[in-house]
Amino acid sequence: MAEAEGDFVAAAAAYRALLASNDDRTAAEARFLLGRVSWRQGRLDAALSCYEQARALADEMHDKELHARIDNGIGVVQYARGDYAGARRAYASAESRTADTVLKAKVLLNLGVIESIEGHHAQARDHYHRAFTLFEQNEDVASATLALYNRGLVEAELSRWTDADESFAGALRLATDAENRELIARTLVNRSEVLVELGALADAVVSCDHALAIYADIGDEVGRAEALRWRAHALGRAGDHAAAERNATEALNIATRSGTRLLEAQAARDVGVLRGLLGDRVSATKELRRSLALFTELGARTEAAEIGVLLSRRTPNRPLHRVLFDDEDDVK
Amino acid sequence: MAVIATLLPQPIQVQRLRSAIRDRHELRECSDWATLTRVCDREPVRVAVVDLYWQKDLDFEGVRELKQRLPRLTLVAYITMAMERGHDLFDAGRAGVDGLILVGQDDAPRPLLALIERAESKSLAGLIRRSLDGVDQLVTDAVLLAVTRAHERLAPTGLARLLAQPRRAVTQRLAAEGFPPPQLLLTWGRLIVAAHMLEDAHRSADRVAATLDFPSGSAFRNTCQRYLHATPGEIRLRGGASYVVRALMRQVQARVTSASEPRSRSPARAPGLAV
Repeated sequence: MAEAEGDFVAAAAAYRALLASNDDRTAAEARFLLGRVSWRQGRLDAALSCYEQARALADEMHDKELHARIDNGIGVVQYARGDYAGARRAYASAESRTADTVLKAKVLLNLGVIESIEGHHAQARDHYHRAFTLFEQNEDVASATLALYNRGLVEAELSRWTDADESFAGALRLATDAENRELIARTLVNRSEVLVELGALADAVVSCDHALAIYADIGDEVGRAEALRWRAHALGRAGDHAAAERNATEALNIATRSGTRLLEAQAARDVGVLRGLLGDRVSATKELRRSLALFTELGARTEAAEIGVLLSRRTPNRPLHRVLFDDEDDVK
Repeated sequence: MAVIATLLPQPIQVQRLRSAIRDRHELRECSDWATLTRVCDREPVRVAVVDLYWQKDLDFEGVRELKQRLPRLTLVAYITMAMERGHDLFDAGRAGVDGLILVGQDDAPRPLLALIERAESKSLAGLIRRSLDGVDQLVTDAVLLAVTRAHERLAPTGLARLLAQPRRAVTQRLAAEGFPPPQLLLTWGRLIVAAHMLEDAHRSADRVAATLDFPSGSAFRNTCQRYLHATPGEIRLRGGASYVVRALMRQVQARVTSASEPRSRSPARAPGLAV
């Protein structure tokens, strides 16, 4: 319960209390769950250490199912470290050991994430769709929500806006039923992009407002900055550049303060473009340069090249909002 | 109003506790350990004041279990001191007791209240230490110093001096674990303590600002807005210190996870993984 609500301290305390259990199965399960909490907290070494201890106990008990679940957990840690080959090996091991359909579906979903990162969006979508069907058949609502959410993300990457809207709407319904506020907020933010593409600009702003309220309530400032950035995007598309600039600037301030550099780079780019549209060319150039420096430092070459093109146009031959919002292919 | 659960066999102990806290907190008197555990589990109990000798045999296992189960609970022992109990007190500290009130010595109203408040901040540091389980020791120390010295207006150079490290090294080690640089960390520390103080409904935002040496009440409110996008009242409603600690840890987590995501993917667009 505490883990689902994001209270990792309480969750870890509860799992630690079970570590000393006389029942080996309970102790092994507790180590596995402690590893999962560590992963959620971004402590990958601690997560791996817990998983390895749990795996040793699972081997002693010849518990193949627990071993498979641990392998899947290890795969997720490897993925977080950027070792996609290692992650694939761990998932394959989990898949070969388990007879549990839900775990097989989880592996499928996690493999979809790697496919998506490697740019194989169609395969990723197929993985997510199959995982969703299996989760639905086995009534694992939490995982089904995740599969729908991921499917929406990849459909947005493929510019299949109507499909993405349906997936996000489905994820939103399930997340609302389960009162998973964090996932509701993330889905709302991502759906706002889809709504913008479908021309429902007012709905996109409302979607971001709802996400902003949730993020403020749960104390997630980085999430709030993302929602503000997408709110700015929707407002900019609607032609309210002044309001969009205010939202983008707030997002930039939060990103700078919280040290999330990619978000800072993206927000600086948005602020630069919006200030350009408002006629403040000096400030616009300054923010675009800041964004370029950050993207270059992060090694995001495509984004850096896009900013380079924007900066090289001393007098754009058409309004900047068309460059960013209407005809992105032209700058790529 | 916070709830204080008690397991005190002598009526005089309860009376003194009542006169110390007046109407600041609500008391829940419990007659045995099982009731105390149940009350702490089900009600918003922040502090438990217990006479460890409420029955003849001293049992630290119960104390350990209670602290393990409810890591945010502040446990204060209220006992009559006797020479033969010295070793027990050492064990009590190890079992997780946060504060000690000696009958006849510390239980005048003002010192008793001060003792409970001190025990609470010690317990707050405990909560933060648990949140930082597995994090670089220097970073843990830096965060704990930012909290325990929140009232001293520590500067980044002072923090580095206390950690016996060059300032740049402190910044680098904090960044490696996803934590904000010293200046921001110190403000987070003050906000955590401020939020903890705000949990007491009797304390106004202005009083908290003055206690923690913010230039003014509005400077404190601005800081709350800038870091948490919340007013002091909202921070209180959302859970006080634990809300601020969670917000800080969320930010740390966002930095760590965004560093592990592909270079061009923003944190909100990260797909979910199933474990």
